[in-house]
Amino acid sequence: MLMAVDVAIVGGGVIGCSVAHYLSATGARVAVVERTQIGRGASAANSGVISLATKKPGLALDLALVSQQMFPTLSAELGYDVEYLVDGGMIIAQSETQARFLDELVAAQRSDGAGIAMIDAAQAIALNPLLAGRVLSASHCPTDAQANPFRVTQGFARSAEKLGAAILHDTAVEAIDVSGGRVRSVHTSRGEIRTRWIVNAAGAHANEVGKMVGVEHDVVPRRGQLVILEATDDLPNIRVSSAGALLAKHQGSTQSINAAFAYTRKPLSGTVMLGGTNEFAGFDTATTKTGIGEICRLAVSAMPYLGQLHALRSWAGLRPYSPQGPQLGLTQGPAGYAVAIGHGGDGVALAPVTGRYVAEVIAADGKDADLKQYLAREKARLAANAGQRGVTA
Amino acid sequence: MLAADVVVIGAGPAGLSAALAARRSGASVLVLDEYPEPGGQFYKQLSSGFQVSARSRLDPDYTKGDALVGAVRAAGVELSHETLVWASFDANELAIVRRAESGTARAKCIVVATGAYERTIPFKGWDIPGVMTPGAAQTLVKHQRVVAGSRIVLAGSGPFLLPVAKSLLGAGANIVAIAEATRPESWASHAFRMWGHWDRLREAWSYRRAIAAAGIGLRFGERVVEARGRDALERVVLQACDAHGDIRTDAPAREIEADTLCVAYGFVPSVQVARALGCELTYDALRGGWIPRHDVLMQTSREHVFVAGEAAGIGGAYAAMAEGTLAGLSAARKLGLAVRASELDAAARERVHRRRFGDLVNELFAVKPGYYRAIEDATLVCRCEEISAGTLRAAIAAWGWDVNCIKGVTRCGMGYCQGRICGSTVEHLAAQVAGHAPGDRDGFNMRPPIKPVTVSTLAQLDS
Repeated sequence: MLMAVDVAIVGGGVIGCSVAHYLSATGARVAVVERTQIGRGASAANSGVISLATKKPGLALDLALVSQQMFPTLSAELGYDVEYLVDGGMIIAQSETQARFLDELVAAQRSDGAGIAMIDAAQAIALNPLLAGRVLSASHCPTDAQANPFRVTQGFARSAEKLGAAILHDTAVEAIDVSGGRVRSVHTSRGEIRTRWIVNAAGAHANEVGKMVGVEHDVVPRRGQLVILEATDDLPNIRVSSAGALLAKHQGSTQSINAAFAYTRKPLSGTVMLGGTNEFAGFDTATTKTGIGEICRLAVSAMPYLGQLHALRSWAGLRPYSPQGPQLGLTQGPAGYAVAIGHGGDGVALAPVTGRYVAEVIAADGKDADLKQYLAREKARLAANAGQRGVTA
Repeated sequence: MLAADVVVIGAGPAGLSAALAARRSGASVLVLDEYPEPGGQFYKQLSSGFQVSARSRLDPDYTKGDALVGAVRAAGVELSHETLVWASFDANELAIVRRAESGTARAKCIVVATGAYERTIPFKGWDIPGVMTPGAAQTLVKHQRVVAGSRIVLAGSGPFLLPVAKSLLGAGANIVAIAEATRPESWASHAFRMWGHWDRLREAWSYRRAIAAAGIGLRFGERVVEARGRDALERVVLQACDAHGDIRTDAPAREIEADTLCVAYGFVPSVQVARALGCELTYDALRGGWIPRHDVLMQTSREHVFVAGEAAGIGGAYAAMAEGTLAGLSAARKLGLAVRASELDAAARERVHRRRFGDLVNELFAVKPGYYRAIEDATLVCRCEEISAGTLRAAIAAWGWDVNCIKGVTRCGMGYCQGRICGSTVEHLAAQVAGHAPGDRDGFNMRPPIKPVTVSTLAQLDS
């Protein structure tokens, strides 16, 4: 036997590391089992964007609302600068259909408590003077932010380790023992880990881990390609994306590569990140001619100035996509099996709330595990805090 | 769209030799090269802005490549200049940019002959204007007839310092000092291995004589420890180093007034194109670091991709030509063309002979760990993102020696050069801090484009 723990977390991405951090803080003995290295999968290809404006009202938006509130204090909590920066974000409507979609989306988001507003074309161009072409209106969320995805992942991992968690990299999970309706141990390439709980945080590989305990998950890798441009001074820091792509995403489109215009400035380095695609191409992490071409075409048409900048690199990551969106905590399967899966491209943005919620569920030994109630409670608490500070969303 | 049986990337000695051998075996051949004229760095030509009235009166540096370039043209090889290969999305297709136009080149076989770049190792003040690589100074002279400065110091290590000195002297430069970090004591014990390499030894002797005739002090076992100057280089500080490359603090430093410092420690193979083609890499410290794994006929792990010259491991121009010929013949054979066994054998033998000398030179001028140990914590390693050696060492101590993780948490290697300049240094620092050998772990990931390409050019990509 390699070791005995209270919780074995399968997957050392940003989600697994966050769960490890919050669980270790409760005093639980934790092991993170990672097949390769910490944060090498979707976490390394994450955009680092922490956005409310892009979220569907309901669970996705509520998770984002609670998680976003945890970011301002995260660096202090981890003792490590995660480079959290608030520059706001907007989503532009380039057609009547998109404008109507945005109007409805923003109305629903506002009623859920998100501080998002519709602005007109002139206001949008004032916020980002490089916008050209057809802009009818935009949604604007001043609290939309970004963090350094590598630093968020590594920060959670190292903090967990300091709190006593074991991080096992280059360690593959081969089987999970279940008996008497309860998980008992994880067999890894380095030996057996006895455990009371197993958290599936295996990202795009979540289904394989689910099968080991007889549970069918519906997580599939969704490829996202990104292009990074050279550093330049004096570009607007506000993030801009197009409503067209969001519309397709919210409708669950699986057509073609779903390339979308998204401009994100990285103020610390001065570089620009152009997104992105949403493709279902299995586990292939290659960038494609079509993907890079389409990303650049969309960028030049929305912000022509970007055409003269040099692209320095492109890459693709596999987002763990589930049509249901994120699934956290208890699910079907044996007792002691919990999940933190299906985060899509929001792994970094939702890591804090995911880690804290899953840790609370396990610390309470699976009692009182309703996510909706948890989020309602957290939102009420946040609203009360905001009220006390005299702040309104 | 361009297409040929064999597409060769790089028009230096290796690439031109490969092109010629493949063409003479009956293949259609296309050579893609980033520069406006063929020849690569070794046969660097004058800029096309110069009118040459009598080519025979040019320095032999220009005309020694004429025969090869002439033969390549006469054989009917297609040359595409100012053409950057920036990615490969399909095993038989290269994504190219030619004068801001996006395009593709299709090939049945590919020969990667992308050469090498100089190994820069940071030191205090290496980012002051006036500090450059010997290759940059040589290019200024050969291509533009411009001498970099009025008081030049050449330093670092490697046989390349001598021809650069000769080129600079030929253009009337004032070289005030040459410092070679290694010592010749060990050379004598290798004398028997130099037997038979008379052409190479004669060449070395001619460089040595030119330097002696100019009355320049050539010191061995000495390194640059600092470049000083307010807005531009004013002084160079040199100090003796030991056999490990560590500075001998007991030895007095000498300061030399200079406005130009040319410094590099040999070469690093340029393997980005090979990586983009999916070739497996292996680490060969003697031949400069990461190289595409290849067999004795220059075939890589991708069976339609061959490699030749410095990109296959540092070995000098003559090894590059021999390897180019061999790679060209191998590619032709792979296409099913008739290649005489005797021709292939002769090329393989010539390659072994030339590589033997190249390896000897590599051994004499081997990269020493002290070169990297000497980098002070305050010195910048990544100039693009302004990341210091101290920041990197702390990050490696905290996060481990996976350079891609270090890249993520520090942004080192994420700037304009994409880690081409700092990559090897980061690998060495990581290995030193973690107590391993460089090459035990992967280097920086390769993310296309291999070199920067504008967004508007990429926007022309068709699906």
